[in-house]
Amino acid sequence: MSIDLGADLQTISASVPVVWNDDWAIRWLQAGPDGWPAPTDADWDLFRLCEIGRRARLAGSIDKLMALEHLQGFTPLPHQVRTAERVVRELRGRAILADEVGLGKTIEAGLILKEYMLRGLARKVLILVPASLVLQWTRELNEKFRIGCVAQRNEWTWTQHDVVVASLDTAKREPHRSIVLATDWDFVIVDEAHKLKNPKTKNWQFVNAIPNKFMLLLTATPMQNDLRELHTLVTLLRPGHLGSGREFAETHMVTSREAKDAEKLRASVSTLMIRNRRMDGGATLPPRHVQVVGLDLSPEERALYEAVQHFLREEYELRKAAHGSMLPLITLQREICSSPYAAMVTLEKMHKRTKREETRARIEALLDLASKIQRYTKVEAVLRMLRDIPDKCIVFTEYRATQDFLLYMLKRSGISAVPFRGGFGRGKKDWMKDLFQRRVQVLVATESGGEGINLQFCRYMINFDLPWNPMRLEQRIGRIHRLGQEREVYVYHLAIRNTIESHIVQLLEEKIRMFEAVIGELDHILGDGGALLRELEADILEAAMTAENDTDLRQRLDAAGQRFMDRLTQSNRRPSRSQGGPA
Amino acid sequence: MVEQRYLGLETPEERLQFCDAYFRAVGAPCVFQSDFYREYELPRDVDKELTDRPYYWLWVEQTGQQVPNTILRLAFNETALERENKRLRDEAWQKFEASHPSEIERMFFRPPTAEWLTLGSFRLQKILESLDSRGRWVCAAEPVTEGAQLIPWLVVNGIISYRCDLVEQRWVSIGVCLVTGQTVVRFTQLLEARTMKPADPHALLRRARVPLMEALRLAQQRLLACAADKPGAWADQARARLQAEMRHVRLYYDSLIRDTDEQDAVVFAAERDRKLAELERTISPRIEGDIVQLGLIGLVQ
Repeated sequence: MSIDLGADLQTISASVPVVWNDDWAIRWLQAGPDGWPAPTDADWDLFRLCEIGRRARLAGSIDKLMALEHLQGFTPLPHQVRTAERVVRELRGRAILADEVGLGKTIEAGLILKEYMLRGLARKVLILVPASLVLQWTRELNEKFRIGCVAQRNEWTWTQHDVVVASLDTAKREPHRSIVLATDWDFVIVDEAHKLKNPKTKNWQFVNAIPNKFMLLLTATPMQNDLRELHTLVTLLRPGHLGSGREFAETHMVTSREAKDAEKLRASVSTLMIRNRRMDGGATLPPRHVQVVGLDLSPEERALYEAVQHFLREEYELRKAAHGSMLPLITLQREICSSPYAAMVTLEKMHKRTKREETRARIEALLDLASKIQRYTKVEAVLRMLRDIPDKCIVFTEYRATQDFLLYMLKRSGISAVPFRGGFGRGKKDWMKDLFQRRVQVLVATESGGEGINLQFCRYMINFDLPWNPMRLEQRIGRIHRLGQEREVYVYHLAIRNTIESHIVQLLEEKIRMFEAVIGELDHILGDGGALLRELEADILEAAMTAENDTDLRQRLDAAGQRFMDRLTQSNRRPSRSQGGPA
Repeated sequence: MVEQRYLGLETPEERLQFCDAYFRAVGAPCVFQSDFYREYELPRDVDKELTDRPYYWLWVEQTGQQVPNTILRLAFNETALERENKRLRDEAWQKFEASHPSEIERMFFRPPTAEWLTLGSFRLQKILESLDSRGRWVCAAEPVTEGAQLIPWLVVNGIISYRCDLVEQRWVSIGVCLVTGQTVVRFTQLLEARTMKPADPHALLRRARVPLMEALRLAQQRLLACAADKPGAWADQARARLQAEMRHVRLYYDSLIRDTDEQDAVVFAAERDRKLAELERTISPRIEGDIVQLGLIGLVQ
């Protein structure tokens, strides 16, 4: 229902359309005095109070965030407020929030969401997070921001509630998928958005298909191994902002890991992404000390390591000739650096799968060698270190088998420890965290279990093995080195000398530098290691598997590093600022 | 009577005065007060509006229970909250212990607590919602002295929203004289100094020459004129942003479509159209006019 105001009154200057919400007013006046309630003494006061209440809720100019007045029990840090202001004013509600781990991306997202809700720009809101974080997000939004949201439970939740927190894995499966994709969401938030780095995955395609007006992608690691990952994330927010995939590659990439002009790329991305770093002083965290602990294998372990290397190289050649999968070899290469137990899992799988009698016999010999090991260098080092550490300590490993083995060895040595891994339900995770906080000295965690848990009460970390990916390492450290940590943090990386692992530290550093070149600096997480930059990960692996000996391996890696350095220097000489802004 | 100095709800003082006025207006007596702290006894209709517990009321009414009125304990700053919570706790335990409770009773005993009324708190939100409905209409007039006549006015209070991917709102109050059709802006401000009493609408409308619907039309015309006061740069910028974003999307999808087979091209084209429509919905500038309050007011001529 609306009154005919004439064509000139349905629009105003510059032909901005006008929409009236006046149905009730028309009905009210049409009802006339006989349809109106009898006047009372309180009416005038109520009328005036209603006006005060309405005016207090008006969305004012964007110079001031309304959300700041509506928070409960905490004050956001200056960098969090600045981020929220920028997203609202400049990025217009579509942004990648890429703060380093532990700087409070959730708080920033909550502030921004609250602002849009208070201004009446967002009512229907979808928040997609890893399953383990659904309740944590629901609690934080309710308690800190007083945003009435619910954790998704069934297929009715999507329509019955305005603000829904759900796991991405659930949402992308039927029957939920169709409902989510048929809903007009005002605001969508995706936490741990690095899971959307591949456009061919169901995750990416699902998020790309969700109708939305405003979207926030939260990740500490918007780019992990390939510059194209940035393009993929940006495409979700603003397709075409960095051109098509091909244009992006032509304009910005030398290789998948090397930007033609890092400065220019950074400028293009900065209109979509905000990254706060601890170094900027946005949040004052106590210093972190990172130390690489070099270890020598025992003769038995060395024998096994060398035998596995020999086996790997032969298998590598065989598979290369037959165009077979290299994945099991890469896995085995990584596991053997972690523990014989971890390697045995893959060896046994390979034993079952192989049809070659000769290979089977080789694997049996390797398993036999592994079973003869009596002393475990890394485990002994951990036990020694734990005796010296006067406090709680978290030990990270990539492998479940290593985790089990470590727990067994710790128990045998009388050190109290609990496990923590991704497969645990929320309740069990909370229970283990609680036990660690109150009762036991050590938490042995695997990578996947570490996501989203905050352990600021602990300040020692031992990385039993190192992930290949520097961002995962950063996420591990972020579990203890984050807002709320009041003491200095100590991180130890165990690395076996004269193995591929000793090169990993340098490899990680190279990747971090690549990341820094585009996104901005990371903390110095590898201690005062050498400045040598390494070639790409694939080259390293190939070198590792085809090198004649360790000296040969090192020489080849040095050469690859020099090539990389040359290209980097060359790209820095290119004019950058004159080439303009976003693609 | 609401005092005229209330301008907003930003400070604890303002919120305290606002609540005092609200509870007085809805007939909820203040049964205890101290510095920045009040206890109000809620009549049942107000209780229902301020607390979400429909099942409780269903049970009370279906079973004919006699339940005491709820006491709402509101603290307006943190000092008052802590101070009064301590007082409430001490008093409640003292009274409770005097009744010689069993161990089980002691285990389950919970003293009452105060709630902190802040901007964005649940209770203030409910009070504002209650006012949105209770305060959206008024029929009142100035007290008439002998020989004076009342002129009827229609008050139309509305919110103008300038919307694109952001929003900014403006409060507009228009008065339309029902005798002459004259319109006046900031009308409620003009009424601030005047005393108002409930009035009979039939009596007020007796002198009206302008029909109510026509008066509403005149008010909306004036609201639009007020809306047009804002320079159009915001809309021009929004349109420019929209065009730029749409151009990016078209270029991106066109390049995908060029490099793919016919089947995928259809899918990409549909995706492009959906994203373009989303951009249009989000960024296109538009103005919304919400009529939120109406009043029939009699002013002394």
